Amino acid sequence: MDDIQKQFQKDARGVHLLSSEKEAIKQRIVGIPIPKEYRTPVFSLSYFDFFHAGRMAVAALLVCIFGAAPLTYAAQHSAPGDTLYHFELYVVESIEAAFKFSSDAQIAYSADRLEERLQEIRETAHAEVSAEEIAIVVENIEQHAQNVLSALEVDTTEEIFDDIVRASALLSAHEDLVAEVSQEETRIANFNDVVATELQEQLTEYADEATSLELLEEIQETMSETSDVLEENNFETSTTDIAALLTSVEKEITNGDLIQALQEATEAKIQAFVQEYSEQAEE
Amino acid sequence: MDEQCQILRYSVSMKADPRVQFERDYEEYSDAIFRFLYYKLQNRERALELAHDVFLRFFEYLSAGKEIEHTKTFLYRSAMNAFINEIRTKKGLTSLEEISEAGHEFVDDGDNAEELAAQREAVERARSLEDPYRSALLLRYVDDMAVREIAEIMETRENTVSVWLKRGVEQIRKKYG
Repeated sequence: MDDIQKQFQKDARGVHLLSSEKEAIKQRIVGIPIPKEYRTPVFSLSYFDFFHAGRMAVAALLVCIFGAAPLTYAAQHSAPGDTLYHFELYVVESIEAAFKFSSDAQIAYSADRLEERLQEIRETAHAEVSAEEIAIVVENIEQHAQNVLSALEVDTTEEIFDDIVRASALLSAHEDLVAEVSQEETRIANFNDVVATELQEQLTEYADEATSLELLEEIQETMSETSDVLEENNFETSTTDIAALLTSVEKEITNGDLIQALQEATEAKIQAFVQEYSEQAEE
Repeated sequence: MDEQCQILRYSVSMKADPRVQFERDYEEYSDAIFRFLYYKLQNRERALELAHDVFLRFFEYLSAGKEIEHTKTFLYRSAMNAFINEIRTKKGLTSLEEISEAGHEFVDDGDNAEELAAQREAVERARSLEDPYRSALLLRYVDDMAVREIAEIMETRENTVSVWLKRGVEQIRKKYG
């Protein structure tokens, strides 16, 4: 091996994980519960009349007694009103979020949490959950909505774009329900207005740089995804706004206005998701 | 006899708790897998995430009681698949340079600024080497793998790996010299 090869070898051997990164990844993985052996039921101590601080203290005590791994599993499957729900929101989520290094991963994580929280909100609508607990869920929803929104200012890869569309549709579909269960005006009502404006700007920016062929492909893909959502849910397309939007997209393509076509195709996709999530919310 | 029982008990407990094997192999291969991904992706954050995913998959395999015959090959193949998957899902990103440009390195350098800068410099310097030559060189001269092992990981013939190594060395001389 000559000196130049040795230099390559020396350079490469200097590339490694920082000790903090190495330890953090290991702890994150070994903290995952192993099936069967360690699986534990979800605890519910909701009859205790104390909130946040008290419950966190109980959660901390349980960590000391039983260890972190089974608790993490249990917390991830807890619901508003369970003691471990606070542990999930304030501890598990913080740890999980710390392992999302790229903006793509951070936004996908927040969009997933939004979906999970809204699902919980739907379930709590039929259960006896206190106003304090609801407020905590709504606060978490607002926090994740804010994270998703912040992504628009930082970056817009295709994955981020899809997550923002999903988040926007989720919040639109649940806006009334969240306002109803929380019995107050929430900040998420403003979310979609901001997203709509930002999306429009980002789409125009993207379209300015893309070739006509790329734009056409993007439009086709967006329309195909919209059709998939409609078909999967057996939605009647003839009577909805979505049908009108899809017709308009075709018209814009014929007129050669591909930017407008892409914006309308995106709007149709959001509407299709809104319809899908709205039906879920009503069930 | 007592000693034999103790060894037997130890070996049984080793088999029962996948964490023991995981921690041992993680210690041995985590840096190499991370480096392999960092050189391929040219993006530290994504390399960290994919390395995490590779070891998570490894841990899940162990936890499910599945037998892994060659840990090293399993981990590198997982890393290779994670990389291919990354390229496929990044629509429109056709080269490593473009991925890097779109990846936005935003590491909080903090106290490790110098170390991270040196790592970044090493990875960027190797960018001038074409893949698969770069990966083959890395596995051969940095991870000390045999040509046979590299061929297995990169799913090709040993002769092809030998050619890659030869061409890779020529490129190193040309571009590092």
